[in-house]
Amino acid sequence: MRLKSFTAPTMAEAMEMVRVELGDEAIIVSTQRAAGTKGVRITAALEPEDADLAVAELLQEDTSSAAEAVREALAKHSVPQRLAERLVNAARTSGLADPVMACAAAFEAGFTFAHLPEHSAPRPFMLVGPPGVGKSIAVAKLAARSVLKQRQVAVITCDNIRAGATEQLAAFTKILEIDLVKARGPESLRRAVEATAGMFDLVLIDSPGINPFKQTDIDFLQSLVEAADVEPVAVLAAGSDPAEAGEMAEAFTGIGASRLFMTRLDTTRRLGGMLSAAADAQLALCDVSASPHVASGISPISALSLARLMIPTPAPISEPHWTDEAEAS
Amino acid sequence: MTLVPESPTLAPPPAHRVKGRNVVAVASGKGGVGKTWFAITMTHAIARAGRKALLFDGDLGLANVDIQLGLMPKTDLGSVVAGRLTLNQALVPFPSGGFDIIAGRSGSGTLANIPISRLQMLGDDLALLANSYDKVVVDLGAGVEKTVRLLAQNAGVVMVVTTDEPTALTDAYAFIKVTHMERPGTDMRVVVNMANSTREGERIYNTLLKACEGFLKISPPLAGVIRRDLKVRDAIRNQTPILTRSPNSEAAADVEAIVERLLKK
Repeated sequence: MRLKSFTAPTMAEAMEMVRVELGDEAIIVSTQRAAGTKGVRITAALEPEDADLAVAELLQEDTSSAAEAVREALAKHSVPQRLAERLVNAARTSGLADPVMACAAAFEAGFTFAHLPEHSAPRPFMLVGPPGVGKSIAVAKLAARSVLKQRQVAVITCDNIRAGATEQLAAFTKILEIDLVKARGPESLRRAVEATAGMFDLVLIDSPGINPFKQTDIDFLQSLVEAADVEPVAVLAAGSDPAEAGEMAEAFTGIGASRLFMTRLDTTRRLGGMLSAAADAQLALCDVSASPHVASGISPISALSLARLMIPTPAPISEPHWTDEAEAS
Repeated sequence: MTLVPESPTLAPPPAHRVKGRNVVAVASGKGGVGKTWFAITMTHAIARAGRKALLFDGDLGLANVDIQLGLMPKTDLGSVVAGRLTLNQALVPFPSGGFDIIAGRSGSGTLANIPISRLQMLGDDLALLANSYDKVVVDLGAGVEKTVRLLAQNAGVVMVVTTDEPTALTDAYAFIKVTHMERPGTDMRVVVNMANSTREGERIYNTLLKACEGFLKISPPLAGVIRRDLKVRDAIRNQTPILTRSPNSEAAADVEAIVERLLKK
């Protein structure tokens, strides 16, 4: 802020002096009778346009470069050391000065991104994952997204293990006016998938939550995948431990999964687990779910949107946080 | 039913919890506005109001609380930073004032270059130590460096001291701006020191307030005005707190009024 005082015989003249010297942007912070004379004395303040930038730079001084900002963000998200090191190096070699862009470049180099198609796909998708990560909701969300694009969607569930699992998904498919087909085991799934041939743009399959560290569970899932020639999509909840998520993801890669669908972003503050799962198991990041509502909160993820999640841009200064807080207390 | 393609967001970050709710930091932006004197007098007034008070000399570059009080502390922050003492071991009682002090340095050189991680630990330790006091007053260094900001962020209230000088006003504004940008919602209050009259002081506060409202859209309240008083210089020269030497002076009364309002909440 620049502060300057002006003295003139009348208020109007003093104001004119302020306008001429500081321009229209200046604000009057004080007016008083000038000492010893009959004139007035105005003090005006001006905030140069680059002032906010200068302060932002001051606050950024500890992170000397974009790569350091990326390192800080990755550490904040509990990204394991070795993966973080690799990404920071990629951010550095990108030569980009903006932390978000450098981070996006590193993600572009370190991960693959492959959205699940909305309009049509030759192979059915089967969402697989451990119990309780939100597979059924993910199926409902994907179905809703395509139905709203006027696509013909078939939904099949193989989850006859958990009590109420079929009923839960049926509640959603009913709203979408889709018949929920139930399949019991590999052979039943094969027939159900064959029955959809040529009639639907997209076939989505829900699967029972299995223990990825138990061979019989994995074998069962594999038999489902092979029987009906479907593409398994690994579904994992964000916020899990990086090492656990990595090993889980590897188990799903073993049965042919090549994409990772991340859920529960809205209840998560750290993405280290998901990045580690994608890196360890060489899974492509596809879509994310960040809302419990079926009609919203599913988004394809890209290197840039992921970088924006990891390095949030600071809130604009104009927001009157302070006064809100004062009133509340 | 509509499908709104929103960009995904993560869970919102945790609300910033101030570690030391009862910590009052004294900042200024510009040096020489009477920050250290105010911190000492405020701590003294808190003690005289019957509360248990600690004065922490957080002016790491030019610590001088001990000098203003004529102390020769055997222990100081330097030993704490070096790891020879814990923070509570560095406490020095100041019996004539009825409060405790952690001195900035006693010949151990400047602490201005202390690593940030070490400073964070120091801030955590101070917040812990603050639990055994009613109020802890932290005398911050001048300026807006990282070290100053870090200590300010641990405080429940930040008193920003200014005078009527344009440089003091712009530097106080700079401190408020940087603190607000880094941590919106910080409870900052303005103290106008060395004012010719209470009314004049309020006018100076209004100048700063208008700038804050105009450019930052925030309205830091006025903690109080301290009138210019020759007894202040007299007390500092004699290395005696003003509330001991001239308890009935105008400046002393003004600080006591600020403390009374601070303790009422």
